[in-house]
Amino acid sequence: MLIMKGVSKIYRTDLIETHALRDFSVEISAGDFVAVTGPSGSGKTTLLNIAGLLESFDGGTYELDSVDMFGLDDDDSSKIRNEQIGFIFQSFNLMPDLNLFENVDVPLRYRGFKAAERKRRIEESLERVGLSGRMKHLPSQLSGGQQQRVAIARALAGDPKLLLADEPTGNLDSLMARQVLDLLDDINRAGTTIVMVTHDDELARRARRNVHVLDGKVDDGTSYHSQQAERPIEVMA
Amino acid sequence: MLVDSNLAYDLQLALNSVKKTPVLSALMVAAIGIGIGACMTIITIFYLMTANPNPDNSEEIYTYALHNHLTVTEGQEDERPRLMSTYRDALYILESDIPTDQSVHYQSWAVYRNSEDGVNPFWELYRLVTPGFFSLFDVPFLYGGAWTQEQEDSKVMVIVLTRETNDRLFGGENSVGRTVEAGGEFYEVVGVMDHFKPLPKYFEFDSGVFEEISGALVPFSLTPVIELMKNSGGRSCIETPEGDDFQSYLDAECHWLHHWVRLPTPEKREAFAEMLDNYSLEQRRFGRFQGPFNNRLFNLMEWLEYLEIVDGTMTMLIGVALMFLIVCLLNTNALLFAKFTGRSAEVSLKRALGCSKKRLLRQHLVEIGLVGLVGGALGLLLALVGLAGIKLLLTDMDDLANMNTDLVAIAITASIISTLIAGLYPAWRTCQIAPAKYLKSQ
Repeated sequence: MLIMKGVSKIYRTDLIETHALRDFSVEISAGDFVAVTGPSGSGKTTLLNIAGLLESFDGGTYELDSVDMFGLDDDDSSKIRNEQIGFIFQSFNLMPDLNLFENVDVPLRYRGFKAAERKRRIEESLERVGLSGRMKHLPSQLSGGQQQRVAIARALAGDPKLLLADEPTGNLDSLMARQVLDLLDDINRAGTTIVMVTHDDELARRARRNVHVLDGKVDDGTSYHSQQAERPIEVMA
Repeated sequence: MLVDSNLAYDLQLALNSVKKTPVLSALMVAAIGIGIGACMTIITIFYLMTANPNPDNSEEIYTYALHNHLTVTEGQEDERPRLMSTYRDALYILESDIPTDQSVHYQSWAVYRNSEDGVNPFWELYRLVTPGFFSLFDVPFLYGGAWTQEQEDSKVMVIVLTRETNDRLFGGENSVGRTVEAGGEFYEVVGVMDHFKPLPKYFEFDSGVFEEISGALVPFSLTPVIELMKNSGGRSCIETPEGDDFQSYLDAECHWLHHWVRLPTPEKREAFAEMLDNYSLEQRRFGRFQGPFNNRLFNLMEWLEYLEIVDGTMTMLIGVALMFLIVCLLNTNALLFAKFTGRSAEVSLKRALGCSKKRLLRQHLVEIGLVGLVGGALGLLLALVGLAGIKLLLTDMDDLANMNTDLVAIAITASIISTLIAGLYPAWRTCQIAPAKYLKSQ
C-alpha cells in the first residue's frame, strides 16, 4: 500500500544542510499498524509528513496505492490528503471556534459531499468515538482525551485508507491514552492502515509492526508482538 | 449549521472570522468606508456634472459656432469661433429647412403680474424661444403645451409658464387660457411646464448652468415687437450699433443668441455644415467673417466637452480623493496582513486536511469581499453625509449632490474590488503556508 524506496529529504538554510531522511525505504501493507520510533530529531515526523504529502521529498520514490507521489501539484496532493489520508496530531489541532460537528465537517467540505452525506458521516464517526451526544459542544468544553477522539473522528469521517498519527497520546494522561489506543486498535482491526510516530514504548508494543528510525534511516526493527516475531519486518533499505 | 453551497460556507467562515477579530475588522471597514465615502462624495458631483442631460436626443441635436470675426488680430488667427449667434445670422439659419427642428433663444428679466387676481408683482427670468425649444430639449408639461409654429410666425402673444411661476401666479391651478402680464405685455397662457432642470443646462451656458429654468417663455418672433434686449447671461458686441433704436441693436454685430438644431441623419449634418460654410463665404464677400475658416458644429456631448463645464479643480479633487482612497487601502492591506498572520496554524491545519491553495485563497477573498461590502455600505453613508454637507454649504449644488442607483452600485462595486486588490497579496501569502509548518506548534 505504501512503498518508499531511497527517499531523501534535506532541509537547507544559508549555512547548513540537514539530512532529515537519507535513502529511506519502507513498505507498509494494507491493514498494517506500524509504530515509527526513534529518538528526537531522527526523522520520524519528517517521514510522517512525507507519507501524508504534507512535505515534498528530494529523492527516491514514494508510491501510495501504486500511485507515484513525486512531483504532485497542489491540487492533486490536496485531493489525496483529503480523500485517502487521515491525520491525528499530538496537540489535537481542533478549531476552537467550531463545535464538534463543524470540526469533523471541515475535511468533508473539501471533498464536495452533499449536506446529507456529510451529516451521515459526521454522526457515524462521532458515534464511533463515543461522542455523538456532544456534537454541539466546543472543543474547550472537552477533556484532552475527548478532544483527541474528536480528531480521530475527523480523520475517520472521510473513510481514509491510511491513518497517520503523530504522538497521538503525547498530551494525554495514561488512562486517556489507553482509551485512545483502544480506539486506534479498533480502527485498525476494521481495516484501516495506521502509521504512528511515538516515543511511548507501550504504544509501540501495541502496534503490529515497528520501524526504528535513526539519523534519517531505518536503523533496526523489533516486533514486540509474538506473531510479529514470526514475520520479518519489511524493511527494504 | 450545514450549508451546502461552498460560497455560503465561505461566507459563514468569513462571518466567524469577523466575530473573532471585531476590532481589526472594524478598523478595516472604517478605513475602506472613509476612503470610499470621500471618493464617492466627489465622484457623485463629477458624475452628475458630466452625465448626458438629454440622452434621448443627444446624438441628433447640435449647436453651431460661426467663425464670424470682423477683423483678424495678428497672432490670433486661430481664435475660437464665437459661441453665440447674431440676430441676423440666427434669422438666416432659422430659414433653413435642413434641420428638422430649431431653437433660437435668449433670456431676459421681466416683472410678472396676474392680471386677474391681486398677486404681488415679482421680478423673474423671461425667455424668448422658438417652439423648437420644447421639442429639442424634451421639456415636460404639466398643463397644455407649446405654441405652434403658426403662432410663432404670427407673433401671437402666448406664454408658457414654468411650474414655479404658475404656482406663484395661479396657486398651481391649470392656468391654460388665462392671462398673464409680463414685462408690461399681456399674454395668454398656453402651457405650464413641469419641473425642468437638465444638469447641466447645456443649451444656455452663459448663466446658471446648474439652475432650474424659471419664469416663463414667450415666442422668439416677438423680439422686435416687445423690443426686449437680452439682459441675463452673456452678450458681446464687436461694433457699436449705428443707432439708439432697437432695430439698430438687432442689426449690429452683437452675439447674444443660443441656437440649437436637430439633424437626425449624417446627411443632414453634412448638409448643415456645408450650409454654414457657404453662408460664411457669402458673408465674407460683404466684409464680414474675416480670418481662417473655423466653423464648428457640436453635438450635445461634444458641446459639454468644449465648454469644459468640469474644470481642473474638480479633476484635481478627484485625484486627491483617489489618493486618499489608496492610503486607506494601504492601511487595510496592513491590517489584513496582521489578521491573516494570526491564523497561520488554522491555515496549516486546513491544508493538512485537504484544502487546496486555490480553495483557501477563495475563502480568504470571500472574507475580504465581505469586508469590502460592509466598508462600501459605510462609505455610502459617509458619502451621503458629505453630500448633505455640500448642499448646506453650496446651494447651487442641490441637485448635483444626490446619489442615484448607478452611483450606489459604483460605490459598492468599487469598494469590493479595491478591497480585493488590497487584500489579494496578504491572502495569497497566507495560502502559501506549508501544511506541515504549524501543526506541531498548536
